Amino acid sequence: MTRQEFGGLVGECEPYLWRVSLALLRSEADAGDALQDALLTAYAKRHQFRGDRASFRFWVRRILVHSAGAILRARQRVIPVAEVAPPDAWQAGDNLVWHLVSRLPRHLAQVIVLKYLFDLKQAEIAETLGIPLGTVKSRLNKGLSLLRNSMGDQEEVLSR
Amino acid sequence: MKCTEVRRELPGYLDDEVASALRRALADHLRGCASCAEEAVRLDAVTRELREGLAAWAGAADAVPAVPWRRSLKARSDRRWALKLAAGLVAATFFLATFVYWPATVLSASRLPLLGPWVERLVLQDAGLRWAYQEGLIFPASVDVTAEGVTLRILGVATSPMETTVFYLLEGVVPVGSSPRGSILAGLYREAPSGGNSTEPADRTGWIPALRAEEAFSWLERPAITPLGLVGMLRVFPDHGDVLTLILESPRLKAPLRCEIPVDREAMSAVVEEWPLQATATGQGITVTGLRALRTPAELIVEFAVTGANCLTGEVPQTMSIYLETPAGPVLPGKQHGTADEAGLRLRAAFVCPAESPLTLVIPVLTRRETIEVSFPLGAEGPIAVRGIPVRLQRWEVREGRAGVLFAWDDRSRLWLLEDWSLVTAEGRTVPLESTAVVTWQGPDYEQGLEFDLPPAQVPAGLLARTAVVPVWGYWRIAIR
Repeated sequence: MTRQEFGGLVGECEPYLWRVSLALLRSEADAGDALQDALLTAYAKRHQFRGDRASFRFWVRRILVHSAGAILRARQRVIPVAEVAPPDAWQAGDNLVWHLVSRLPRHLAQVIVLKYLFDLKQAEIAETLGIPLGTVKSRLNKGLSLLRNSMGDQEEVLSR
Repeated sequence: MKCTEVRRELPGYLDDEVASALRRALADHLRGCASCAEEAVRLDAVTRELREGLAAWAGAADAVPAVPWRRSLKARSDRRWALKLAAGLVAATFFLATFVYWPATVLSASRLPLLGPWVERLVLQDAGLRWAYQEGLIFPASVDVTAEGVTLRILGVATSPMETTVFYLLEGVVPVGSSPRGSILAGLYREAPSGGNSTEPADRTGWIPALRAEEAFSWLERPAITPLGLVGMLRVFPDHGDVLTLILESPRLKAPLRCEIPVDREAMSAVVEEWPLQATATGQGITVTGLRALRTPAELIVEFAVTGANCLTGEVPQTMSIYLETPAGPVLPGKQHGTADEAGLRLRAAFVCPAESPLTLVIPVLTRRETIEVSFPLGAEGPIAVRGIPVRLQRWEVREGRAGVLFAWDDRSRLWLLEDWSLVTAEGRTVPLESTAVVTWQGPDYEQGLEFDLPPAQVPAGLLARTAVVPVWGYWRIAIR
């Protein structure tokens, strides 16, 4: 893969990668850092990519999980000062699912995003976040149950 | 397992992330615990919304969810998540309604609480079955057969003069979260009515539905993949005795599984009105004979025979080719079944109960086999005429000793199917082809695909068809009442 081809593929999926990074890290600064790290790593390993055009974004996403995970694990030791940007700034638009996920407590949203946007297994989530598997399970359940309730509320609003 | 433990593992179970021992324990629990089963259904709906909603937000609306059986559901579903969520809630309501309102017989028939809504959806789409359901004529059948991790559970049996319907759950063949990858998952079919030792009945396809991976999703146009396995129904011609034997085959099984299901048909006969038909119609060398009519509270069923030289051996006319003429206008059959033998066809067509008379069964078109001898040289340019219809050999492929060929023509009203194929070798010899599979598609052109094992040590030069199935337009009419 030449430099130009790599650039072309990144250009196609950058908005997507930016959003998944933001969804996980909830801070534009961190999301930018993680994405930059991921793209540098991807560029260095570009000869290892064997998939087609459509799967490129998922390949980079795998790498992004590692760079974002490093930030998340480091972050557990500091108290975030400029944590959550308002969801509107993330262009929730009319996407109600994202609207609801972005309102979850950070530690729950991370697990939900890693599970249902990054498609990681529970064990991989535990490794990425540096937390026990049992904690992943309980956070996943808590997050899903909150989402289900808020989806139910939303449904009531819609049916009125 | 306690419910709290089960709930904690449900997300992993739905994504097929749990070890096999735990998966079995969870499945066992879900079968016995209505509230956890309901939770699984709800959770499944929520996680599906989540995956699709998040992918759409991130700008990957085309991104494929990781779990293939979800993919199949996704393909058929509306993209607007709110609507889908509403549908999910409706399904959940159905679920609750199932428990509250189902008659005791049906509730026990379903055996597996989680399957209530799926079985109900299967039942309620068919007039005859809906009636059977209302009359409490779906009987529980507690038959399970298991081998090598594959379990076939018979949930219930409904009988009618038209057919016997078996509701089943297939576990271990469509494991949640793993990919069917287009291979044949399983075939469930009836043992040959004649009995004998054969577990390879001649009529595996046709009106006994052969269950294949790619058909499983569209099969009967109902969602049949559930967190517990594949839920479906199989309809067979009701010419069996008190026991119906089904055979399950799968690449996962070393040997076919045999399942004997007791069938109670007495309750049905009490509510059916039956009268003989004494009408025949002859035309184009084909005779249609009315045999009998049956009326259930839901359906009018007409049984008739079709005979004639070379007529219709095995080829059942399409549903659209038969209708009932009533004072209120034509009524198309809700379903039709048939069996074929050397004497001809014996068919049953069911119409959703028209009350008025006169009623006349009209058959505009049937099909007939005709002998032809047409060869298609490989690499020939331009179409070859078959009974005046230009047929093009579109494509020819060989992979691992199996060949695939695609033919196309544009007028199916004059040529239905080409059959009885032989391979023409480079030396000019003809070798009859065995194990041919025929697939047809209706596109802008009509296409017929042919798949067969290439005979060893033969250089193919062309293909030879000896039989053509052609439509015969005759408008046969049988007075019913």
